[in-house]
Amino acid sequence: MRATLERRAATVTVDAWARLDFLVSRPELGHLCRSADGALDAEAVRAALPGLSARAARRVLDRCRVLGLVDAHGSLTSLGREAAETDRVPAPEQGVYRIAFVDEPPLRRCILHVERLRPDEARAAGEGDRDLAERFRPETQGPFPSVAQQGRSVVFRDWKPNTVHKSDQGEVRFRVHADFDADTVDLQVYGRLAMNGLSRDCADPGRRVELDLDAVRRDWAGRVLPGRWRDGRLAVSWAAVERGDWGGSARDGFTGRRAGGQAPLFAGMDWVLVTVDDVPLAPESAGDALAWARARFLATVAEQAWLPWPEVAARHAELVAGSPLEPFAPPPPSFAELVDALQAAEGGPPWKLLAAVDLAPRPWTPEELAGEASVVVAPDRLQFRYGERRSLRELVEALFGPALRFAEDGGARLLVVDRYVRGHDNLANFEALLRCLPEGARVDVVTDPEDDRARLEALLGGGRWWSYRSFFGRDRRQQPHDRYLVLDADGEVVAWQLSNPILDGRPVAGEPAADPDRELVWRDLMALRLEPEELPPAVRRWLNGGAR
Amino acid sequence: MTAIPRTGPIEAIDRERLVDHRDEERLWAWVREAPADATVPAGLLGAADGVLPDATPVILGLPEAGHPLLAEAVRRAAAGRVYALVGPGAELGPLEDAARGLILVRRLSRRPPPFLVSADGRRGLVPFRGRWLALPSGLAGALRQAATWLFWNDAEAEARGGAGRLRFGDVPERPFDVSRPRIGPAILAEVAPRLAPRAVVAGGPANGRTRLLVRDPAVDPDPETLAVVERDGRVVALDPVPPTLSLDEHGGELLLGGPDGWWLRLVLDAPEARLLVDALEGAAPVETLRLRPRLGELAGRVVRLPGRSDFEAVADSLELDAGDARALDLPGLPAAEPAKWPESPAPHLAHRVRWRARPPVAPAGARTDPLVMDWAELDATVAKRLAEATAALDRVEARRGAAERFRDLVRSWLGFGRTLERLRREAEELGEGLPSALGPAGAAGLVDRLASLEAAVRDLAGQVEAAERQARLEAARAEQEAEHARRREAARREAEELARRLGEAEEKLAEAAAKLAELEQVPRPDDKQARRRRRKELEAARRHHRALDREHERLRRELEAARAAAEAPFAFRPPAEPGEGPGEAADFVPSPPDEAPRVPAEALPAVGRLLSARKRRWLVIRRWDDFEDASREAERLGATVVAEEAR
Repeated sequence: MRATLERRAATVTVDAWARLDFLVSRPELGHLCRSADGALDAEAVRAALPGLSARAARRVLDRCRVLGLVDAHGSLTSLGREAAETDRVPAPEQGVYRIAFVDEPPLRRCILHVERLRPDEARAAGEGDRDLAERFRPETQGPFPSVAQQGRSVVFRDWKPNTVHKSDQGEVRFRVHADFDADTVDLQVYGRLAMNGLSRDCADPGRRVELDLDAVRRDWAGRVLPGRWRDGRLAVSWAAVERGDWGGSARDGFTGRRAGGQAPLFAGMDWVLVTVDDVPLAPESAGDALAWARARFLATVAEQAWLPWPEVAARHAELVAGSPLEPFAPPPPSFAELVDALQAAEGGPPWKLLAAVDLAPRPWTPEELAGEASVVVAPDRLQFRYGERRSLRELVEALFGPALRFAEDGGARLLVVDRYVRGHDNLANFEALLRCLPEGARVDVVTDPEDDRARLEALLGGGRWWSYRSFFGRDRRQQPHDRYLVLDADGEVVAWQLSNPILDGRPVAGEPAADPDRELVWRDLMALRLEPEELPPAVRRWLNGGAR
Repeated sequence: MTAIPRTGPIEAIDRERLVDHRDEERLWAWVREAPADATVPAGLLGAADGVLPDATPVILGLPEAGHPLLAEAVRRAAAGRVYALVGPGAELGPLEDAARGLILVRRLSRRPPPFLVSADGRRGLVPFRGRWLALPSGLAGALRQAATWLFWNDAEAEARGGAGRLRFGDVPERPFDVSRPRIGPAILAEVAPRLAPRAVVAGGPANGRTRLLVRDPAVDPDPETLAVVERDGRVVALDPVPPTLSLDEHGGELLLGGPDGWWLRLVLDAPEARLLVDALEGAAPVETLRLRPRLGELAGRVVRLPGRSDFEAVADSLELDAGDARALDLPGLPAAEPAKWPESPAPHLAHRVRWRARPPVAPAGARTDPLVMDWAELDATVAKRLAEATAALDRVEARRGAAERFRDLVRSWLGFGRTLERLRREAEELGEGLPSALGPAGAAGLVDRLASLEAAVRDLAGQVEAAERQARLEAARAEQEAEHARRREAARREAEELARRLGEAEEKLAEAAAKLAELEQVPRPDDKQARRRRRKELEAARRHHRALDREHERLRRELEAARAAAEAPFAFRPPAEPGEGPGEAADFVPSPPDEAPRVPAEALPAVGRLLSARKRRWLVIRRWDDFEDASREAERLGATVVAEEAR
């Protein structure tokens, strides 16, 4: 979660006598600091600046100490390290200066800008409220970068505050960027600073400040962010998401965005909440989760040309799995419910669903359409719901068990028609599938292997493969949509039509491996037993011993 | 026979006749026993399946726009989901009433077979020869598979109902594969499968009688079928050719669809076949074959009779229009009848036929006979030549004015005028009648008289011309003689004046010659000045002498010329002839024609217009009043008397 807040800052200027250093460019000292390797001594100075006498080298070293580049022991100070990076070193001076602060209690000593006063201005400054001036004494020496003059930085050595001026001229604002995940808060000053009759644009690179963001997050729940925190997510109502209170990505990304309003920060200061992004969201209740899941589902299938019934449960399960909806386990929609929802969403009969269900290869039972049926393993039908856990060997057994058991050695041949026998995971499953078959069984494949052609040929051994175009013809309409597994075991033909690939299972944990007994998680799978005559003509030709 | 009219215009005659067929017998008749039920029954045959609720989604095959299933599609779209499959070129208009309902139409590459099947595949209906056959559930499931295959694999366009007008659009790619039924209880084929013929189509002989014989009413019954009907009585119509039903008690096959479309072959097992046999036998036959029915017995029925291809309702009476009957000749007009009586649009018990007897007319290609043309040409030629002769007489008449200029002509014109008047009267007489009205003989005489007239006109014109020419010469001579005398007198007076001036010139010339001679005699002085002065004086004297000499010579020649002119003799120069100039007298005397005009050998008909074509002649008249005259003239001319074509 990230938030951006703003607030106007009251500014104060203090006239003070001071001894201070403006950082100026001194490349030779920067070179000396860069060659110091953490510390300087006379030898190091002579090594860095060849030709110096030992006495001259000592004078240079003393000067570095005076300027604060090295401490009494010769070690580089923070100023010395900055000089090594920027070639900028302190240039000491003293006089009367006008110094701009912010007048905000939590950020009181933030110096914005320093300017020298001319002698007449210094005399005119006169005596002021010394007690008030004391309040603005900076705690550290700096260097303080000026927000009003790029490149100007100042290091305070000593000062005596004299006069405090408060001015409403100019418009200086704070901006806070709070990253709740990285636990960082960056403060930036911007706007225009009025000083000595001049108005200067602030160009502040920003600085990091300390803040307990966990406390802020708790403080904001219910006030700034309507909802309550639960398991790191803000539990919100679906109605608010649907209204758009949480921005456009709330429904699918489960992250919200809000803008505007007031938000407390820094001990109760009121800030204008510019934006709060990436607020992790979750449904507030089971009802919210169900409505949320339905909305996501409808949006997902909006562009689909068809919505076959097995795909409804699978798509719904995919949308819920791993999302903040999962703890509520919203059930997939029933057919009737989905028809009504799609009709309302699309403003007409949802033919994508109606036709795909009414005219499915096999009629669906009312129980299946009500979402009550689950796993089916029958001689003519096999159906896995999303998340079903089965090994590949179990699946092969369910599909071809009896025929494979009675096939003699070398008497079985299997045809796999699947466009995606490729890719590391699928090929691992394909290898596992080969291991499920009896010794000597021949496997032919119709697929589009693309870059995995060599690996596929190595796995097939004596079998062969065809591309979809060469096997079914160039006309894409003649190429099947579904997948087919056809086993010819000593003349006994067992043919299946599958809605999803048989290589689609993924290991419960770990990397895919060619292990037929390893339990796999299946998305959804619908397999229908076919008579050989019902197979596509090209597959029938393969059965009869020929192929394109 | 009705007599022809004696007078009045020749017009068409409206006629009619009443014909009764009730007692006529036909060899056979297919008789439709009950009107075909065009709507899908609420319950199915084989009632165990129960009814098909309205909310059940159905798939319909609609092979043509007017199929009875169409009404069912429209009705059901309002209540349940309908997936309608139509053929190429199908219009969505008939389905527009269902557009707001739940209907999804897909246009296939070829016409689908007709069917209705529930989306769950439990119930199916197919229309069969006017019946609705309910399919057993196994067949319904097979039919569903065929229907879904057609829907997903054969569609070329799709129209979705429920949102405005139905409109065909693209077909999205299918979401899954559906197997095409190739064997099993339903087979989908592009070409008609062959059905095995069954020896006994249905029922079979029972107690020596055929219970049921199924034949195609679209085909005329063969002798064997007629013999079965003669013996056992009952034949129902079912089986078209090529056979779409092959059925006996052991099984059967049923073909749905047709040429250019998908064929759906439903294979029936024994129980299904028995169900269908019982259904066919138990149900009232749609069509039965009757032998030798009288038409009166078929009153009010829908039948197909020998020679007719379709079933038609037997009408009580018909009004037939036989159109026009053209008579061969005018006397035959009242009795004219159509050469071909009109085909009856439907079987009927009686009919009243009306026709219009029209008189004979000349054929469309007939044109005016050449005889008429020849007479017209002769008339024109004579008229033209007569006009030319009259014009020539006018030009002669115009010459009368010349007599006032030439005194000698006045006397000549006394005779010319009388001739001119006579020729004018003759020309007027010739112009009073056309040659064509005079007939061949009269026309020939007229032509001869015209030639004589033309010759007389030419002669008169020539005489006038000659007289004018002579008068013009005499006048010219007199004028030239007077001019000659005037010129001689003037020359004489000029010669006298020249002689006087020549005398004076001679004197001056002599004086100058003497003065010159005198100067030439003076001796050459020594003084240069004197010599120069003498030379100038001498030169001046010489110039003066030469000038006087030239003047003297000129006067002398002029005097000789004047004297010659005063004594010159008279010579007559004839003036130029008027005809020698442009546009003068060339058309005064008409030139004779090259040849005499030809006079036709036949006279024109006294009545009617004579037309001919391809060596045939027609004499066209308008009224019966002219018929007798026309008949005589037609006989003379070898023509046929016809009437004017009615407009």
